[in-house]
Formats: sequence, C-alpha cells, structure tokens
Amino acid sequence: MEILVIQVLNSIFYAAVLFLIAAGLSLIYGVMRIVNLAHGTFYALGAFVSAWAVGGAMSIALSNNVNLGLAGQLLLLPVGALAIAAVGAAIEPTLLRPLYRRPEEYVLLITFGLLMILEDATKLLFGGTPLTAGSIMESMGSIPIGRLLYPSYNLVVIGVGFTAAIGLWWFVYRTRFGVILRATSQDRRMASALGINVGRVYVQAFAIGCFMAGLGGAVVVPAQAAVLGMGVDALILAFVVIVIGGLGSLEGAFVGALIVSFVRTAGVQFFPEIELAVLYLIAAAVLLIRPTGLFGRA
Amino acid sequence: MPTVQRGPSLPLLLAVAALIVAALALLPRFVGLYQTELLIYGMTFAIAALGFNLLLGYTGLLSFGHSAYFGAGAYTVAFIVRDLHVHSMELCILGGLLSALVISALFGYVCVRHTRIFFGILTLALSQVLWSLAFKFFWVTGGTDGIRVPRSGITLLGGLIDFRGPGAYQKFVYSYYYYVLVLFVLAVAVMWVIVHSPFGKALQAIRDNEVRAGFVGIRVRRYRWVAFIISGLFTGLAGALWVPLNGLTTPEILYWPFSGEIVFMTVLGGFRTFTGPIVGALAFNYLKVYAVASSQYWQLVLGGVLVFLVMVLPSGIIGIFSQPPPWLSRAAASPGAFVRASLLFVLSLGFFAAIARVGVHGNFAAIVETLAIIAAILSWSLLLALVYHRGNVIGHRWLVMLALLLPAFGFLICIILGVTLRSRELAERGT
Repeated sequence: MEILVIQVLNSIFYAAVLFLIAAGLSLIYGVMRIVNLAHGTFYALGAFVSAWAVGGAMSIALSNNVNLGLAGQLLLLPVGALAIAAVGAAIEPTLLRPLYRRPEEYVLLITFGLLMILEDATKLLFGGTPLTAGSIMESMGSIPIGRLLYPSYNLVVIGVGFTAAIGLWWFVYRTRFGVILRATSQDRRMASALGINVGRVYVQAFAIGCFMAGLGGAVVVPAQAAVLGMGVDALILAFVVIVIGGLGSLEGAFVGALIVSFVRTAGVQFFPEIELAVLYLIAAAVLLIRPTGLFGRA
Repeated sequence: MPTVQRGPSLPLLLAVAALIVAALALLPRFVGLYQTELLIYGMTFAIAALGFNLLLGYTGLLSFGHSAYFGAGAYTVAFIVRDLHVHSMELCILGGLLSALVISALFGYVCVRHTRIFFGILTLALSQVLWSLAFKFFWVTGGTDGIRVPRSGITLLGGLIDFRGPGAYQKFVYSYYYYVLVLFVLAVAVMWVIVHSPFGKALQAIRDNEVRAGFVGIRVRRYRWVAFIISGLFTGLAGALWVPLNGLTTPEILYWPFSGEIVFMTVLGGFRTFTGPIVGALAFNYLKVYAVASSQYWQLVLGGVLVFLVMVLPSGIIGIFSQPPPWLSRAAASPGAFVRASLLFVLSLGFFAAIARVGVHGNFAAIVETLAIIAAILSWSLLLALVYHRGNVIGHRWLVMLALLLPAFGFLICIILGVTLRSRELAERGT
C-alpha cells in the first residue's frame, strides 16, 4: 500500500516536470506553429544554470561564513528559468523571425541546428560532469508515508507543477495578454490588422515557452543531477505528451503528462523492456486515430 | 516558381557521369587508405540521402525518422552474420533490403495518411519505437554495446573475395571501395530513372499541388506510399553497406538525431536538385570527420554550419547554381554589393570557426589554418556561383579577376603563415 502511494506520488512528480516542459513546447507550437527541437535542450540548460547558481552561491556564502539557508537556495533556483527565457527572447528575433515566410522545414532545421549548438554550449560552459543542487533536497528532509520515507522536495515540485498549470491557464484564458495570444494564434494576419504587434507577441510567447522549459530544468535539478544528453531524451517524451494531448493545447499537455508518467511508472514496474516503445506506439496510435490529440482543435 | 527548364541532353549527362565515375574509380590510387575509407562512408551516406530526398525533394514530405530504415538494414546484416553465420555480403544486402522493405511498407502505410508536421512527428515516433527496442532488448541487440560485425566474417561476390589473414584491412578497404562504388552508381542510376519516369513526375505533381494531382487522377496516398517504400529501400541499402565498414552497429544509428543528420546532409547539398543529396552527404561526411577530429565541440561547429546554411544558403551547395538565393541574385546584379556580401560571409564564418578553435586549443596556428580553408572554400564556391550567374556582371570583368585572385592570394598567404607558425610551434615543443 505504501509502495503504491509512493509510486503514485512519483508519477505525479514526474508528470509535473514533464508538464512544465511540454506546456512550453505546446505553447510555442500553438502560437507560432513552430516545432522546437531545441526545447529539450532548453530544459537541460535550465537545469545546469540553476545547479550552477545554487552551487556557486553556496560556495560564496560558505567562504564568507554566511548561511544561505533553505529559502535562499530555493529563491536561487528560478535563475535557470529566467536565464532560459532571456536566451529565448534573444533567439526568436535573430534566428527564427527571418524564416517565417519560408517553408516550415527550414524552421524545423534551424531548431535542430540550435539543438546541436546548445548541447555543446552546455558542455563548454559547465563541463561534462553532472551538476546537482542536492543540498536543497537534503535540507528539506523527508516525510513519513506509512513505514517509508518520501523526500518532501518532490512534493514541492508537484506543487510547482500544479501552480504552473493553474497560472498558465489563468494567464492564457483570463488575462488581456492571453486574449491577444489566442487571437494571434488563430489568425496572425487578422490580429496584425487589428493593431496587435504580432512580432512582440511572438517574442513573448517564445520567451514564456522557454521559461517553462527552464523552470522544468530548475525544479528537477535538486532531485536529479543535470547531465549531458538529458535534453534530447526529455524532448522526445515531451513530444509524446503533446501528441497525446493535442498540439498546442494546454489542457492536453496536462492530461498527456499525467498519462505518460503513469504509463511510464507502470511500464518500469511491469514491462520494462517495452516501456519506451509503448509510449511511442501510444503517440503513433493517437496521431492515427485522432491527429489533433485528445484536446486539440482541428 | 522556377520556369520549365530543359536540362542538358542525355548523351552529355552520360558523358559527365562517366567522367565522374572514372575519376572516382581512379581516386584510391592517389589518395591514401584513410581517404579511401572516408569516401566509402561518404558514398553509403549518399545512397541514404538520395533515398531520403525522394520524399523531401520530390514528394514534399519531411521525414524525421529515416534512421529507422538505415538501422533496419544495418541490424539485419548484423543479425545475419552473427546468428545465421552467413558470410556472403550479397545475401546480407538482400536481407537488409527485405527488412527495410517490410518496415518502410508498414511505417509508410501509417505515415502517408498525414502530411507536413504530423508526417514528420509520426515518422519520428515510429523510428523511436525501433530505437527503444534495440536499446532495451540487449540480449538480442547487444543494447548500447551494439553488435560487432567483424571484417573477417564478410565475403564479397559470393565468397570470391574474403578478408582473412595478413593485410586483410587494406584488401578490405580497396575491394570494398569498388564494391560500394558499383552499388552507388547503380543506386544513382536507378534513382535518376525513377525521378524522371512518369511515376517521378506524378510525385512532383503531388508535391506542387496535392489537390490538383488528385483531380488529374493520381492516387495520391498510394503514390506517396510507394515513394516512401522506395525511399526506405535506398536508406536500408545504405545501412547494410555501412555495417561491415563500421564493423559495429549501435542504437545510435536508430536514435532520432541520426535522422536529423540525414536531413542535414540533404539540405547541405540542396534538396531541390538531384545531385544535391549526393554532394551534401559527401561534404557532410568530411565536415563531420574534420570537426570531430579537430574539436571536442564538433556539434557546435556542425550546428553553426546548419544554422548558417538555413539562414544564408537555403538552397544548399548545388542549389547555389540552380536556384541562387535572393541575396546572391541581388549581389550578382551589383558587384560592389557582392564583394561586400562575400567579405561579410567569409569573415563571419571565419570568426565563428576561430572562436570554436580558440576555445578548444588556444592555438593560433590552427585558427589561421581553419580560417584559410574556410575562406578559400567559401570564396571559391561563391565566385563560381557568381561566374555562373554572370549575366549581369559582364562589363565588370576586372572585378571578377580581382575576386578570383584575392582569395587565391589570401589562401596562399594563410597557408604559408599557418605552416610557419605550426613548424615554429613544433620546434618550441621539441626544445
């Protein structure tokens, strides 16, 4: 019984991280019709930046005999997300904007090029060794579930995931900027004719999408070390999530993330050999039967 | 949209092709063992890219899952050699083709129901099914270690040529070179016939306007499916040929970044042309080998080249000639602008290359060398393109001369500088 609770919690933890990544990917696709192959690498970069920020601040604080404290470390985590948002805001106008008039293959290719560049840039900046912000996880301790212990930081991540989901939903459906975003997504030219600065909306949408990916990396890094190659793996799973949920749909990303992580947890337990294959097959099946996904619009 | 162009006549085309094949056949006499081996790799990738381009360039479908068919060919050969103890390369190739046929027929049947981005994601998802199977079923596929295919386990031409005993490596490289060359020429010829047949024309009609093609009576989905299978067969052949050369097959070639590399090759050469993928695959192979050898950050270099390519030369190397990018046409109309543009072009690339190399070695000579090579290659290719589109610049012959001479001089100076600096460095290291 305790095992079951822990497995469910693990699934939700995993779903929270996956949702953060996939929601950003989906937002970017929904507004800009760009499939961003570098999105997973943004996630990895966010994890590296956050771990680096926390680790660096810790060593500075230690050498000055200051105790940073748990709150200080937690406040440093979003640095990664903000850095990635800035990177995104710089990339969209310089690399992507000149390509909107060309066939979509080119945009896909440029994001593939970006993926290669960013993978190595990560290696160049942070070296090949894994980075972690495990001190946060340690100092938060764990809570008892029956006779077993569960790290309380994982619950924080679950909380962040749900908060982000609600916040994003509120942002897209209940604010003026959300209306503009949705209008631009539906008809770019009409939005432009109505006086919306479409170029600015695109930068903002791309930066928000990147922020989400970076946030995913930032929250995961106290629990799992940031390693090279984590982005490439995460991207494919995020793809599966938004294909199941529907490209460009926020609710879809939420439900898709839950489905993928529960299937994965079950898969690791019961059919470890074909665990990944099953996920890809589900994605392929959804694309075949309902190409717009569970929640997507045509 | 390009207007209808009458290509060169068939005899001329055959003559040029014969010349190129003759040159390729003679090449191993002049370039060493290692270069010959690189060329074999290049030719196998060229076959894969050629197959891929039947979908992208001629049918208008961007597949992001061609690693599946390459891997299917490769793994089948490995299974045949390891488990069936069959040594004949011909039988291995047949097996590889068969499995590529089955898998591409199956995947294609599913994928051609969609176009555009959905097609791309579907091919990606399905290819990753194969990857995860190869990755997880380690007792069958060797997992990440892959399957070794020793050279000694392979014979060519039905057992006529085998590779055992002393000097086997050398013998393998040289005989395998001609083996792959023959298949490569065959593959190119077959693809040429396919592309220029009524079937190929129908594919291009589908690419240009699906609805109209349907109205004319073309069964769009059926045609796409057949194109998908042919494409998969070519890529499978490439995978089968690649295995004995590499001596090992790992899940890497099934993972999706390898599909990206196939796309990269094709775009590098130019996907709107027939020869583009071939040139692109050969160039990509050299680029990658050079980048991997010179820097641990080779992905950075390759990614930079890809971004640069998409931004500045979207029609690829061959495409410069058949479909000059807008900025080049503008430049050809005003030579001053051309000189400025090419200067900027060379400088910016040299700059990035220099940063990459400094980051790795902190080595000045290497930077000069890289700069020289890049500057020379780029300015010569640009120049060739300009001369090709010279319609507008006759009257400025002196400028063309200058542009021809400058890079040549620059190249010479850079080489001399590079050699002196490197020898000085070596001397310092010696003392």
